[in-house]
Amino acid sequence: MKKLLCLIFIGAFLFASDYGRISGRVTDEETGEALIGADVYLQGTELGAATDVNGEYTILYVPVGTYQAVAAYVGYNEFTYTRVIVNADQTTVLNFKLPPTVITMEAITSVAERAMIVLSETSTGRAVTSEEMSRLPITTINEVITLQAGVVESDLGTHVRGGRADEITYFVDGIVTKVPNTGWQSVRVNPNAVEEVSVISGGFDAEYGDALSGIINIHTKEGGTKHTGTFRFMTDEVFGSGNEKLNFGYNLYDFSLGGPLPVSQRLRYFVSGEVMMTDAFREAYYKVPSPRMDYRGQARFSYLFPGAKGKVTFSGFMSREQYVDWSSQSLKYFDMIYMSRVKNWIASATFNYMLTAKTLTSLKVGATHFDRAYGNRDYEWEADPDNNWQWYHDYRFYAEHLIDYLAAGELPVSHIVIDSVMQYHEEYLNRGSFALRNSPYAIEGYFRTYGDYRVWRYWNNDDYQGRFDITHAIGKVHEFKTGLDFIQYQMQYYDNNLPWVTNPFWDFYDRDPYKFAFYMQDKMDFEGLIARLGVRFDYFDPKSFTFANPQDWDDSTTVDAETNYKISPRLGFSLPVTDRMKFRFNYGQYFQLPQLGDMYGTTDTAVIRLALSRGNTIIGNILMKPQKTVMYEVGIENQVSDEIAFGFTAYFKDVYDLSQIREVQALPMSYYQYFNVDYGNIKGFEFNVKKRMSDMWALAVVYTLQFARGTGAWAGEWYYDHYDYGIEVPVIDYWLDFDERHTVNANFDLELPSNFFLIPLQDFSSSFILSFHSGHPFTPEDLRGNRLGDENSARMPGYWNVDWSFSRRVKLGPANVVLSGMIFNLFNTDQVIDVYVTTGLPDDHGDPEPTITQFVTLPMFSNRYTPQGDFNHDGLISPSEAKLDYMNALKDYYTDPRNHNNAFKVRFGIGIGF
Amino acid sequence: MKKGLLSLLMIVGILLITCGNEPPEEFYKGTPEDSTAIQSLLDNNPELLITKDMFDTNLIAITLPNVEFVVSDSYFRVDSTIIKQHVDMCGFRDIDRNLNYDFWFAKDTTCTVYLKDTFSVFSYMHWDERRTGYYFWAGDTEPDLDTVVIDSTGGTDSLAFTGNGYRIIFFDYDSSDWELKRVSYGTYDFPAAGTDVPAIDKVVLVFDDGTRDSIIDHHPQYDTTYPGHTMARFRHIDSLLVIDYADLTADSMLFIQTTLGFGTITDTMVQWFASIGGENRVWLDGGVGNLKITGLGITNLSIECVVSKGYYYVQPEGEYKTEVWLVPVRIGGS
Repeated sequence: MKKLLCLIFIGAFLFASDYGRISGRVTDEETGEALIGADVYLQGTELGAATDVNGEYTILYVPVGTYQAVAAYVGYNEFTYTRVIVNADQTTVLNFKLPPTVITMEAITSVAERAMIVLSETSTGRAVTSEEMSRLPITTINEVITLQAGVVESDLGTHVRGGRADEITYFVDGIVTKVPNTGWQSVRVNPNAVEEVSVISGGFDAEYGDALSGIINIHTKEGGTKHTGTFRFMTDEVFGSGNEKLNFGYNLYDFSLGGPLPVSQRLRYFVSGEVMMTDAFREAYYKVPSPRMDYRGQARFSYLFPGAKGKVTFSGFMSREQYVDWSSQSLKYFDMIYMSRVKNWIASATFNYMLTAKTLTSLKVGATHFDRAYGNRDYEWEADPDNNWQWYHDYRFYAEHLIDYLAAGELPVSHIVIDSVMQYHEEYLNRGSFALRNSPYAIEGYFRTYGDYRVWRYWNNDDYQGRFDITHAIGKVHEFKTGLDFIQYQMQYYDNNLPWVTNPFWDFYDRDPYKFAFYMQDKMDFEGLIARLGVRFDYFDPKSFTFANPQDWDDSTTVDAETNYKISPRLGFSLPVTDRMKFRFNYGQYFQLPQLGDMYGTTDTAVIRLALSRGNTIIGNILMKPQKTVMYEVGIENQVSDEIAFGFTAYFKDVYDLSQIREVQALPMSYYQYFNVDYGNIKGFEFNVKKRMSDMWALAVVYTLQFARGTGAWAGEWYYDHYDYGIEVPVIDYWLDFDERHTVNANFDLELPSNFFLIPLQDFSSSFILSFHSGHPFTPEDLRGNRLGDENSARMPGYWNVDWSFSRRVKLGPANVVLSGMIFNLFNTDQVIDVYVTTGLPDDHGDPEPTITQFVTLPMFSNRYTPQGDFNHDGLISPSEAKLDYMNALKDYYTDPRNHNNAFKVRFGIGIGF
Repeated sequence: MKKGLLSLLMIVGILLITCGNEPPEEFYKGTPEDSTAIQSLLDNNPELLITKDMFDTNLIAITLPNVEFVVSDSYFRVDSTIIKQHVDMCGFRDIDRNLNYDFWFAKDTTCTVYLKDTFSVFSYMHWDERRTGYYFWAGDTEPDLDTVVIDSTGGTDSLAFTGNGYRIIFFDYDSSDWELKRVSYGTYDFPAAGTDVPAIDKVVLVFDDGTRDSIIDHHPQYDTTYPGHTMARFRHIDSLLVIDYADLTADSMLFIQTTLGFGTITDTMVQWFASIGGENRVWLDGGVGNLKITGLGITNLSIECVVSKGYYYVQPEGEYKTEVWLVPVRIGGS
């Protein structure tokens, strides 16, 4: 029995749904009578349905995409809707009115109008199609996500409805793409590979688990019936290398190819890729040197069974992202700033099969890989001609060779961690004569100009996923869905932090936890009421252990981590008042595992004792339980005309058992540990209004009013508050760091037709995004480090931004040439995103000016003399020169360009497509 | 229509010109081309490279007091001996030199080049007498010391030592070329690391008409208005100390006076030497004396202050503890 269960769990994995449905009614245009037995089908597919006695039809299990839907009936002219968009888990309504063939006429074609309100939807979600994305001034999928209601960006990451940055679960074609140790998104898919991105911020169904705040579903493109291809080049290097304002060394190349394979129309392919290189990827007030080189590749092959009975899909994705960061502390000397190199891949296979006309099964298996190296970049090795390092190669970092040992398992881990010390042995300094060398100032104490970065860190994660779903439509009312999903992780983590001290912070773990879930849900479509009921069961086995008494070196007793399970109910209602208006409500309990790094970090029996003996140690907690959110949501949506709709949503969330560090009093030495102790409470209100594309323009405005309180914005917050300021455990909640009270995102699209009266503007399209973000909170302090007022009791200023994209299509034989451009921060507004807590200003710390008597004379043969401070070049740094240099250094140090968002940026592109 | 398009183009042009934020100017870090150009300037001014004009291998006469044993020398085991000598001529020669350049590019597109000279030298000494000392433990009632001449035939011996020298040269980038603008004087310390090295405080050059130029170790004045010559300051290449033949005696002699700085080494413990352009090395008896000036143009005036002990001890071997000032001077006239 156990084996059987294992087989089921291993082979049966569930993924986020890839399907929607199309339904509607076919009637006589003149009389309005229902047409019974009319055929409705999707061109180029074998999907279709016939109308019933009421003239109604439903095409189930339509893959996400854009189609042409045709209605045909004897004695009537054919009617075709083009650009029919089907979104995941949504019903697209198409009503056909067929004219009788009294007078023979050509088949009627009309562009399908996408429903502005989806009556069947009970959750809050927004799907953005590839066509919409292509118009927007964005270059990554994440930029699309941040435009949605309730989504806020902070220096901690992306937050959905006031949740922490790790409370989002990302899916790519149904495969979970999340780094379990940290909760980060593990994969960033190239936009030209994406058919649709959906962001679900509330009321997600029981099929989605292990997420407290949001679900991001990314559906990649599939080859269609025709061959398609694109190539694009975008750059900002048109301004010349000397233009530091506008030339960021940005270059993007992307391509895609898709269509049927020659052997069979049923065999489809889609491949895409991109290469992006820039000299300055870090957003800042001005260009800061931070090189980045990414590439991504994606391929998808599918075979469609005859009779639209099913499909087999094989997908693959791989990417590499590498960059060197920038810091004002190491001003202009980024040799010692850390580099990050992430490599990952996804491989998956999906088998969808319709057992009956109303029963769809889906089986998906997949594997993902993620590895990240983090530390000093080895410029010397790369510069050696013998090593033939090229720009397209991976960055190499100190202790690179140790990764090979790790992979081969040739050395004990403790040797490897200790060996990394040999590579990172030079402590970075900002004091002493070493620090003066390469410094732009003759003042010590500010800029690090010497030594190694303090961290060598390496993650290596593999996981194996599987999901099995079965969906069955019962009559017109019920759509029942159930499934299982399973993930087996293989996690390895190595860390050597502060390696030049005798007993550094070092850690490793190698754990293979697994989790599985079972869910069932029913979507009931009653007359005047749509209900979604579901329940989910999640099980997790941490597969970990540690010493029972780690501070007793004579006690080798170990304790195992406990397995845990949770049951989470989901409930949602939609009450259509008219076909253009609905109320909705949903309630759900959501569970999510803590970051597994919070559980496993510094708990391995090989490291915990040494760690506890060094003091100031944070250790994981293998006994942590899942975190929990209870959320309520109500909404109203109303389409007030054929082109305009608006909606309101109010939500309320209580979040329990969030991970946070606490101090553990112990002998011989206290330490810090993670516990399920934090709480959050978020309330919000979202308003959106949308005018669909007509008369050449469209508009969408989303406003979010949000109140996010809690006892910690991230799991390490209290530790640093306690360590830096001696702050005690919070007893009341406060505004969280990412509490953004007002957020506005407005998107204005302009599309000029091919017959526009101004010829240069024919086929011109343009899109503006205007956004406003109110300021985030911070805790004010005086210059001595004393906190003034309560935690996060002051606010930074807000800012607004406008981005603009434009393109002009030119027909060139069978191909389209597209000239395009993107401008970010069109009005070059100063957008403050961080301030000094002493002044509330982004560039002024408030340090007082010292008196000249605090400076001494430095003759040229002093080891403290540098020419940087000898303004008159007489070989002597006088006190007045030293003070002037100090003030310049101070200003430079505190003028941190990363306290501001990016300034005006422009990129131009040229592309071709067929 | 055309006006509309032109207006649009103008707006776009204005956006591109005015928008965006310029990063602050980078502090100049130099390029390989800069380093090459500066190195070329250095190579073309060998007279400014330290140590070039320092060594005179000719032995010169020196008059030192007779060898004496003092009580403190007697604190040796009975079976050990010490040997002293009386030197009447000396000279030295470099055997291994390594001149390092450190280019420090800095504000305002400048470059400060630190020259560090590391070398090994033989000090040659001709002696006319050597003595050894026999002694008893201090506190014995018998005579405390006794000396015996062990060799009076004379001979030449050498003593090896290492040393460091420093000089700093300042370059400025003037519109299109690097220019050598300022130079520091140079100091040498032997041994490279150690104690009891003498510290020269001041050197005075007395010309035939009685006028003087003083070179001091350090002056605390905070700006460039100090007109005198200091070792620990830059000096513009056009305002180097000038020695004009017209200001010298008929036989081109320059009178030199020296002053030792305060420290553990006192006046009676040192010997002074001077040379010009690595030639005409002369012993300055009591720190004063005449140096014959030869040559033209920029060259180095060398003033050496040597601890006498280095000449006396054969066993245990003495140490050559010295400070040398290497002063770039411009010799003019005919």
